[in-house]
Amino acid sequence: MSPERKLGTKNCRVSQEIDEPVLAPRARKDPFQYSTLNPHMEYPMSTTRPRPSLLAVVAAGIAISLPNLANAQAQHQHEQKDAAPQRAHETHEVTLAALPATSTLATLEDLVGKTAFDFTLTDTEGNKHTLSDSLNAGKIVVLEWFNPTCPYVVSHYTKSSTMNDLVAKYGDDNVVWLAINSGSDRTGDSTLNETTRKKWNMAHPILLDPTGAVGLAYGSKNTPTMVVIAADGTIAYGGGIDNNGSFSKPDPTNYVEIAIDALLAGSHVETGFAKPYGCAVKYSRK
Amino acid sequence: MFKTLALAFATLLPLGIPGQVGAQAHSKSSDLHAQPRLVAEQMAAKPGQTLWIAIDFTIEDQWHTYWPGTNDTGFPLQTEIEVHPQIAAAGDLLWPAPHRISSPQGILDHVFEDHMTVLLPLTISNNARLGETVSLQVSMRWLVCKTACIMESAELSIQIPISDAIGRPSPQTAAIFERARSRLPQPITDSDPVTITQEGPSLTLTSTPAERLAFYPSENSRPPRNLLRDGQAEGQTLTIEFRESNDPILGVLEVWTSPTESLLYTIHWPPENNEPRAQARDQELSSFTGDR
Repeated sequence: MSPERKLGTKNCRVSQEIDEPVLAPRARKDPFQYSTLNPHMEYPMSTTRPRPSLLAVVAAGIAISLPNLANAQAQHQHEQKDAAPQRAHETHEVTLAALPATSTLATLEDLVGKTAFDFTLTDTEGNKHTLSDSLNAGKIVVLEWFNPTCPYVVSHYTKSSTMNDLVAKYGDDNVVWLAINSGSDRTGDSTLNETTRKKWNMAHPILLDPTGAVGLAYGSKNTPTMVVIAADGTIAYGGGIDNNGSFSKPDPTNYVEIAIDALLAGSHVETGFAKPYGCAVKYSRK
Repeated sequence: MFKTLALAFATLLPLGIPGQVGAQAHSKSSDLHAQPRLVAEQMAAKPGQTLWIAIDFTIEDQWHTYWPGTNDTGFPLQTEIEVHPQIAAAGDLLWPAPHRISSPQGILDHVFEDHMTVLLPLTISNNARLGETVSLQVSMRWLVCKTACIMESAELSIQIPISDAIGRPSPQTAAIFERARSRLPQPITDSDPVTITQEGPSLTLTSTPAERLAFYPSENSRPPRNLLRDGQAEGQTLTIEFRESNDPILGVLEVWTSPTESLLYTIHWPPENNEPRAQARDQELSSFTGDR
């Protein structure tokens, strides 16, 4: 009966359970009557995007050393790249968009096919990671929004090994996999994340984004939200890890795996967006 | 309709207590943030009639569960219904209209707070015999969230005797069903004060008695382009831009006629020639009301 309410910060009692999110769902044979009783559990929202053209090449380093100029060029490129496609050189230097100055949540679906936003974030071991460095090295980059206390994330690391399996599968194969925690509360704590990383035998780093700037720019609402960036700097896929948000499908379709395979084969990524699912990213509530 | 019982949660659950008649609560489990119970509208059921069961959740203060429509996070109650097919058949669940909530960044969900009551129709077989018992078992799991989310689950059962003397619901039971039905959206009829017009990708919903309007899209609806921006409006008009798609626009329209009172309508656009399911449900409801 009441109009929309904003989620408040009143009485921010954090319950004990979130550290140990028991009863996390696991993939199992569908005992529930989705087809008859709960048709809404499917997420038939995948859309097909045309493959974007390759990016134009500009002088190396500008994007990083001259942010304002880079921003202007990136914006220009955002608008121009489809109209004036150019081939990347073998040296493979890319220009990315700069992170937006405003802290508004982008719409991930609308980013697919556009140029990725460059960022530098520090991981839980103190190492810095710059997106454009990996792309310039010819790598495909996978971003995985992460929260060690989110039951969905927990499930993909403990009930199944969805993420670790893909990291192992593609780790030697020109793919850089970066987990990103955009949480501003204690779920974004470096020690908690590093402890979890070791406990879950994660071979990939967890980058900390406490201001949420990177998460907001990429329109990440959920943990996990997945973004696959082609080596040319184009966002090739954004969305859920798979079509199993209900954890009910025995054989889910993994959109990230399909996107990486397509990029490695030099072919078109058929599904550029599929609805992400999971917990809300714990952005700052200011 | 007799389904194999899901065993996956058996070790995690306090089990319901079968074998009691009428409204049956879950066994005490105070650690659940959303506490479910099954409530039958009557103490007994007649052959051939529709008996309504409420799956009634009491939700802890500041926590919420999810509506099975368009949401950025979470997922709704999942149920497995088990009832002996020679005695009764379970129909589709009727969901109440949700509340819309959003975070400061614009993560938007449609949820239930305080209470969530989902109605389940049981059609009693004409062949059911007096003295037999309808034994209903409902296995459920759901996500309940505050700042963090927890998966909870339960298995509830209820037994209702087949009898000619169905009795009258207690005031408490009647109140549960009255509250639940007050949140059920209804199909728009010619006499309702709602008009819908489409212009290009945008749908405009107008209602003259409205102080405020909100649209809650179904999961399988043509998706709005910016639900955060377009999903609600003050005044008498709500214009929503949709993405290109061949899917129909489906969802619930809430029309506030005062700060505390609202009307709820199902939206199906373009309109269908007829809505057999909605009509059937109306008939079911009215015939049951008559039976009382």
